[in-house]
Amino acid sequence: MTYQGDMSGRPVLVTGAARGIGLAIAYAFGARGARVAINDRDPADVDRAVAALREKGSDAIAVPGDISDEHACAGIVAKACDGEGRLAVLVNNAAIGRAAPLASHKTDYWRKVLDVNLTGPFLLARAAQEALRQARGAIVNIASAAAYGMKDQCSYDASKGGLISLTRSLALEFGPAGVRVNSVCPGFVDTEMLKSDANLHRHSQKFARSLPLGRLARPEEIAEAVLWLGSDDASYVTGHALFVDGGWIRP
Amino acid sequence: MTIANSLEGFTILVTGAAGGIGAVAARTLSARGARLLLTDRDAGTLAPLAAELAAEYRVADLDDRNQITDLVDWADQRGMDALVNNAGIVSMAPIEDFPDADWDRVIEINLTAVHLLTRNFARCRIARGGGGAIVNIASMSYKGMTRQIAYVASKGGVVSLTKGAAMELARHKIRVNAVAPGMTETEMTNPADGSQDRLRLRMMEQIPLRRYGEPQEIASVVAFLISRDASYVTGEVIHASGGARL
Repeated sequence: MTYQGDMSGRPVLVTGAARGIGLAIAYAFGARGARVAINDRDPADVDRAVAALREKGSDAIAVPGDISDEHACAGIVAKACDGEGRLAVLVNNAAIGRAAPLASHKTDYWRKVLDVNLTGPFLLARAAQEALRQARGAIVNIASAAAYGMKDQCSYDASKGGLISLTRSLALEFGPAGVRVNSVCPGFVDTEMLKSDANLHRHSQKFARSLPLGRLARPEEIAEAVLWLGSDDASYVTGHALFVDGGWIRP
Repeated sequence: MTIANSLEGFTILVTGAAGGIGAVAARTLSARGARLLLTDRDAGTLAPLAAELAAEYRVADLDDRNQITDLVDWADQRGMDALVNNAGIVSMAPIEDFPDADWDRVIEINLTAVHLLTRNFARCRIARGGGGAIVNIASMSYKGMTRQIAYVASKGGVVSLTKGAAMELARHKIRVNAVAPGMTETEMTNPADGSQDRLRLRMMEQIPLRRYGEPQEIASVVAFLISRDASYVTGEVIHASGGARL
């Protein structure tokens, strides 16, 4: 019998996969037999994540590079594909954020955040379009519940709202080729990055108590939703924004 | 290898289990390890399905509120910890001619029964210390569709009920979600006489994936939403429509 979420031998590319949610996504695909291409900016970080996956018996390769760089994207995709030039799943997870109210939100913050969070997924989708068509594959974009607005995060919020719209647009374009495009919108997730900032961690735990489910998400809970959307179990789901946010937004 | 969306250990009550999507959902949930409790209006197709899946079944009319109470009590005694509200009916007529009796009946089965089943499910689960999952079968028609106004309104109601119940029942560790199917392959949408063929071609042009969904593709959404893999997902309505009506 075929296992649900079986990804045996399928080439999957996860960006921003050196830590946090991205690493959890890489683990989830790896555990279901995928050949996971790990992307992040720093090659040493990528190597560590690849080693961590291999230690768990998963198949992983390193594809470091800057996804906001058009030329780098072509190389990242080429390395992530299998021998036949196919890519089964592209997970656009890499993202950055800068908290600052509008008055002190520097143009430079805005451009950098949009570059990584929105232009990056666009560049990778374009670079991977043929490889995805060949595999009748899927794109999963990691957007955010912040697309509905979070104070002092205007560039981040706009980038994630844009990513939801990009998802819908690409779903229309790729649909006839059998390629599905969806987004996952996490709420607050209990990552190492969140824990490293004691103030932010305390604030988000307090906020999480006001959510219907009353707690932060574990990175694995985001990863399982991404795996599901990338798997054949979601074969009739495309253009959707799946909120994994403990009941927060309810769009 | 870790199996995704395993339903080992769940006992799931499925309404409308003899129908097109219901029977496929029951088979899928069973294949993924769940124990099933099936219900529908008549025993005709229900009994053989129950035998096939080694499931128990109970005939019930969802427009009879006493029968709903008895049904949920029956399921609770058998360890029910998940509920799939799948039963639904449709009545076709233009708004200006829409019969009152049809409106009442569609709202009763598609919306009121979903509330009553949800309410009684919540009572039973809370009495047992909480925990559980509900998946409602809505429809993309909640965004608007012609000549079936009661159905459209009932499914819009189901979507709102899903979100309200998700908020309210979360503290009892009960998650509530819905799947909104688009055009799905059933005997109704694809009859053997080919009478729907021209309509189907026209509809498919509007669907980004260029095809109708298989009941299996709705069932696999239900399985995910019940499973522990969806443990942080509640109040969500997953569109399983091939991208149509985004």
